[in-house]
Amino acid sequence: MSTGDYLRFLRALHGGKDFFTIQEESGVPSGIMRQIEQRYRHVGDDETLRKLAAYYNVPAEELLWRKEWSRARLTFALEDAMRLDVPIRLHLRTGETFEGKVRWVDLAATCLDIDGQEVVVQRHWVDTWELLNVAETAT
Amino acid sequence: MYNLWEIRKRKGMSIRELAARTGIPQERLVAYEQGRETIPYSDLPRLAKALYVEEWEIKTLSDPPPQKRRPQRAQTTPTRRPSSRPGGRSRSQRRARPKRTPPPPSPARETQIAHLRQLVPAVGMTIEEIERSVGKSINELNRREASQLLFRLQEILRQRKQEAKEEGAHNRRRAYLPEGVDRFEMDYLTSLQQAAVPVHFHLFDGSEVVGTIIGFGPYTITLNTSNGETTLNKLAIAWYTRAGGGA
Repeated sequence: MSTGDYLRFLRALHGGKDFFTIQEESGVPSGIMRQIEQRYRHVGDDETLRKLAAYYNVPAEELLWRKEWSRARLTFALEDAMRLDVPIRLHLRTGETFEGKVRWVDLAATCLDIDGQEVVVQRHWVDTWELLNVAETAT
Repeated sequence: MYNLWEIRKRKGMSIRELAARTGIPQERLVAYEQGRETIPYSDLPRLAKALYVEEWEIKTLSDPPPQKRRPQRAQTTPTRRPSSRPGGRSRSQRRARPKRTPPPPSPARETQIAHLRQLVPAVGMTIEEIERSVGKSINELNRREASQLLFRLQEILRQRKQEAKEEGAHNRRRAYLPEGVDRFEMDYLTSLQQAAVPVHFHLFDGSEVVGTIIGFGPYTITLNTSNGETTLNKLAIAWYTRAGGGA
């Protein structure tokens, strides 16, 4: 779950307020919230993320560490897994872990082939990931 | 090939302007235009560049421009002017000037030959083929011939580039950007809906919903469950799979 996805989730949990209201209430610069939520690469400085964390009453670290796990990087990892034909391990925010080969990937979801069973994982719930058997494939 | 004065007039340029552009003194330009001096090959590129023409289009020895007719004076009686004046030369005598034979053209410049050697493979030919077509070795070409040959080859290249561009416009491939593609999940949900198979949806809070898909949009999926129709927000769905497994 990227910073943007997590903020979207938090916004939904807090009644789905619009960007303008949250910007006014939290004091973050105008327009930055929409960018953080919708952009594929990480946007926004630490100060903004700290303000938003305080606003949503969550630890700032919970937002900050996700900077390195953006949607774009997940796309690259899924693409690499398909290209190299290696399995990928996805760690979901729900605590579940899935491991399988990538059948397809698109804007919102990815389909893994796990022992012949297709599982469609919503990308916004993926916290972290790792490619498996890359070294073996490279050799 | 055209006279220098012809090209200059066609381009709407004055002698002064041409002198300023080329750095050649006006007096010398006048001498070139009137055919009193042959244009040396050192001035030719500058003139060609300033006039936006190829070097070979400029005659190195211009024919003198036609004399401007003097405006006729108001005459009371329309009398013909005498064809000759006492002590002067007649017009035919004045015009009868022996034509100078142009000097033999200089050999092609090294840069022209080098450029030719680069262009020939670019158009898919060999030096031998080119030499056969011009009837001599490219090292024996004179400047004008080399310039014409270069022009011809560049035309071929320009034409090919244009054709490739037009062809490319029809066969342009769209970049594959997974971040901008949302058809895979849509196709997958469509196949599940058409198959009317039960699907297990696992939500973020650990709860599960099982049902057959009866519709979906970018943000929601509507199911027919044992409790009736249920619409799930996709934000709440963590993952889903066919009930009972299998691809």
